[in-house]
Amino acid sequence: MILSRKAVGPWLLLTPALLFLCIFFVYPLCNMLARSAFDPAPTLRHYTRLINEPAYLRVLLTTFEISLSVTLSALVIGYPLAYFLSQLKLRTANFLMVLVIVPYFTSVLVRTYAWMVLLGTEGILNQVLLGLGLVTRPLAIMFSRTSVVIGMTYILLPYMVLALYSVMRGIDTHLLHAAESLGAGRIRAFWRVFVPLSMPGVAAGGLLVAILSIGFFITPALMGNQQDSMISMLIEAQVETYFDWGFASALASILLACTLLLFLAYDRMVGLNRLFEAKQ
Amino acid sequence: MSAKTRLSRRRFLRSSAAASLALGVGGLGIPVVRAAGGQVIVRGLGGAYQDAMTAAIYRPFTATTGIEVVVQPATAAQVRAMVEAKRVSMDVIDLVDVSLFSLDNIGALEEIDYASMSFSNPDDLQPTVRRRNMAGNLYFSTVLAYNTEVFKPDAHPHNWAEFWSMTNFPGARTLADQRAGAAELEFALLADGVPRNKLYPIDTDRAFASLDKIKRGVVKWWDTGAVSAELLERKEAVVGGIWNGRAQALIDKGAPLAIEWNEAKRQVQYWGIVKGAPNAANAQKFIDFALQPKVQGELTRYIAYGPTNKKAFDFVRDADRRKLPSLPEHFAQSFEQDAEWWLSNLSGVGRRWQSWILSR
Repeated sequence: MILSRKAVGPWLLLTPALLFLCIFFVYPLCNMLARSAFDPAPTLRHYTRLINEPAYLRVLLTTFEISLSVTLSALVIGYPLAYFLSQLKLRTANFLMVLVIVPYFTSVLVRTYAWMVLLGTEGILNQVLLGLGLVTRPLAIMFSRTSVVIGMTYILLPYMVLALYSVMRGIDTHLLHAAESLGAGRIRAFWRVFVPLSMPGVAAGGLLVAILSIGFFITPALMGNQQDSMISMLIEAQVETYFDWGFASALASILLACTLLLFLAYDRMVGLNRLFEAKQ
Repeated sequence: MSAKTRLSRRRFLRSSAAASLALGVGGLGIPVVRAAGGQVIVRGLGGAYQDAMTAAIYRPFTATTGIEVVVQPATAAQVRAMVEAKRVSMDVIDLVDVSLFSLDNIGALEEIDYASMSFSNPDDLQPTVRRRNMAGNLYFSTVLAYNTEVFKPDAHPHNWAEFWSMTNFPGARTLADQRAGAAELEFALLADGVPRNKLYPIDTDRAFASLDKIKRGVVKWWDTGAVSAELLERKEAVVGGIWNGRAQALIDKGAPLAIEWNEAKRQVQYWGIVKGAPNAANAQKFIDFALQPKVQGELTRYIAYGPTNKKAFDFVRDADRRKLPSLPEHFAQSFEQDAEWWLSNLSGVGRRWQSWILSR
């Protein structure tokens, strides 16, 4: 009696969460997968349409290109920042970390609009460039791939920094001292010892940012143009404007498959449990 | 721990799970309690448009009939989902012609009961906007709006051919995306030299070939009125084809913009009732009320869109009249979008537009 209660207890506690997931996640997801292949009758035409139309394939390609650019930009900006933070005293680092995380508390929409104001034709960046005489005409940065990458990098940067920082904190500084005492210069010690040891963080941050960016919607929709549409924008257009929910479901299924593949890579290289840990 | 407390804890869990489920359902916006005098749920579009509707239609309607107007935002896709799931929580929708046609095409609209109208006389409506499942709410125009700091009054683009000329009138443009209702195939043809009375049936090959020429000049194809206004206001675009009400709102706010009415495209915003609407009778009454001359005339005080009821002009102030698409001078310079053509070509153009807009 007691035993069975012990076995049942955790499941009972899980019931609300499981129910919630089943009703609001699993059921709609199955619905979507079914719609992609059975709308209106069993068919593969929604998938073949994607393959037969170069424009749609290009959207897929653009999605990967943008998410790769965002991941690399986040790494280039995030790595030195995380390194700097990891070398500070814990108290100072924790304080500065708050500054990295604070933007999280602001809505993505607000942050995207802020960038639109900064990068616009009449925006601060162009005002400064014009004022310094570096350009004669305002640069057309907005509504291009550049503006999308800038906006998305900014929004996803904290994920990269957190992933890198947690690994870098765990690197034993004695190893660097050992390298130096064995004759390596500081730079050489950094490249030969620190960088390889930080690779799990690079993999974790990179995959996390890549996963988040392939499904990104608000920033590319507001800051980009249609020629650089990402797959999420294409899905939204099928649902909202063209009422082609079969095709939308097929696109969403492909996005899901790509995301799962990245997750799989993440699990293989980093381990999914790391997603939920603060420190190594 | 005693068996008793365990039992009570289990009961507590069970009842709290039930309670949270009930709360969850209530929170989904399924109406549980109805107002005593009845209500009608109307799609709200937000912004200056919704403010105008509230002042000119919603409030007077409640004052006259005692029926509460509940304003809810919804997209056409949400309305479709409601109808498909047979869980409709919306009565009246207010949509651009082509978008409402596509809802009508999938059987999402109830018939308009013109015979029972008491506030309005259906015979006073412009005959073209009196349709079986929808009734014309107002006329709006897509006009050529330009920045007056960039283009002097005597040297601005006067028609779509000049709009298309990047060399004579340089600067970033904006035009409507198919997602805003309909792509600007008509403007493309006008720019290519097709006379205004020979636009329909649209030669889509020629229209897209003409659009190719302006593609690089368009900084962004807008999909909502708000986006079009932002682009012109922030000078991301210095000339654009945008809805006259949005352009007028910017001008009234003091933005350096002006409207060129030549070759403007007139379109209709329609009222429709969602199939299976929970308050269908009130919805009929609401549309009946909204179509009457005095109400339509009153609306022009708040937003520059034109009445569909011919008698409404008696109630329009002179100062507002000159801003309306239906002003005789503007009427003569502009053309009416052929909704029938769009109705039968919507999916074809939609597909072609998508692959065109996605490619460079």
